[in-house]
Amino acid sequence: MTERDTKQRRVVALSSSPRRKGNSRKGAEAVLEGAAEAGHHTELVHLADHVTGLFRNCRECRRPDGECSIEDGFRPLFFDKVLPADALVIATPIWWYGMSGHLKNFFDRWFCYFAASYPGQEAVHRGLYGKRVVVVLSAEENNISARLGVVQTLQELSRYLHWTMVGVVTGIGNTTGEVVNDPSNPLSHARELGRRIFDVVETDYKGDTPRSPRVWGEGSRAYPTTWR
Amino acid sequence: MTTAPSPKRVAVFCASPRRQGNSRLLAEALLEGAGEAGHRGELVHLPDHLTSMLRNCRECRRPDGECAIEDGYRAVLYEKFLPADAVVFASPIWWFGMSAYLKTFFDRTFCYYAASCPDHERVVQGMMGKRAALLLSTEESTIANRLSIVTQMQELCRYLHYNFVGVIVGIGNATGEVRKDPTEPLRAARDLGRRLFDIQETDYKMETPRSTRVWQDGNETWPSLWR
Repeated sequence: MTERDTKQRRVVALSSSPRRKGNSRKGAEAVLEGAAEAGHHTELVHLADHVTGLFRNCRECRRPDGECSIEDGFRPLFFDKVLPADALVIATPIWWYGMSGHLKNFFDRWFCYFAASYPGQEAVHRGLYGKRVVVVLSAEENNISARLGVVQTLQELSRYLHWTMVGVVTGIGNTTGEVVNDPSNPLSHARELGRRIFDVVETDYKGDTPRSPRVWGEGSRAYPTTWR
Repeated sequence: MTTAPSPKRVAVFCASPRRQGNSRLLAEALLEGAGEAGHRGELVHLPDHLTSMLRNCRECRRPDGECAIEDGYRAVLYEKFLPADAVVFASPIWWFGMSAYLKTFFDRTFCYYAASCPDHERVVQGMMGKRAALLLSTEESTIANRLSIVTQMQELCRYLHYNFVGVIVGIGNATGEVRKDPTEPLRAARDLGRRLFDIQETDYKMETPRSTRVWQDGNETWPSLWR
């Protein structure tokens, strides 16, 4: 497929809370620990350090050479870390029943380089497609509906970009780092998900997809995606 | 009554940087309807006022308790959002969710409703109990791409004791293209604006006392809608 497959695999975590020791960040670090144990190359990015400008109207602010004119660290982050990544760990606190504005803005800003008006559009598309993704959430409330919206968004985005959604881990906590006290052990699940980030098989059939009637047969031993 | 009731205040928050975009057209249509019904409507173009996302309040709150981010957010919150009787959020669907402007608008309420803000009680009180509507524009017609944002808004409305009166979706991508959507979302938005304060959203618990008939005298208000 792409040149990505021939190198040591790269796992990049995008931590989208401004807190450096917050709950979603702890979850992202745990996924990366597991990924490192499995021999992958890992890196954590604190989004708020890199992306400070909100997405604008490209027709008004794109530079004559086709580049985005917003001057912050988005471009190097996107081209040097996100596009070459084989897997992304997307970590966000749940604020107002959705992802943080930092994370949403990070996605919105893709448009500057994803759009046909950017000269390097094709390479950007190739770089974005086909990744693996782990979602790490932290939330004060434990009711399921508080996290449905963000999972739905990332599911749709994964379909659109032909990503494999490996799993979702939610830690319940509010004060800084409190997620370590969550008795469901989200950090150990996050670590496990990191370990098997490239082994998980996500199934998403159409009616006519050829397959065995047995779900758990030979050659289908990889873990399924999880949501816990 | 000796005096006429003061007009209801309707604040519409536009969350696309485009000034003539599709979600903005829906917003203007809703405001026309609200004006026809005698309400006082106002459009807020969020990108004119917001330049920064929420930061870590513990690191950047000023000694006097105010938010240190210097842009127009505070004025929008205090002068447009808190006094409004109805709040309408107009957003394009980008990456299967609301635009970051709208998300940031919600995120930054935290600076003011958090206990560390001296004024937080007034802010919390002002944020609660409004009527709310959602106006969405989207390139794709699949229902799945708008589920997330509606779920999110539904939860937010529950949390704030809002009456979620409706969702209007216009399909379009190029600037202003929503006018061509044959389901006529602009007309629906205008209609929603007209009856913004008449709509009754029902959301029962099992034991909620009620008539067995849904449609009867005294209960003739239109229900909330999603189209």
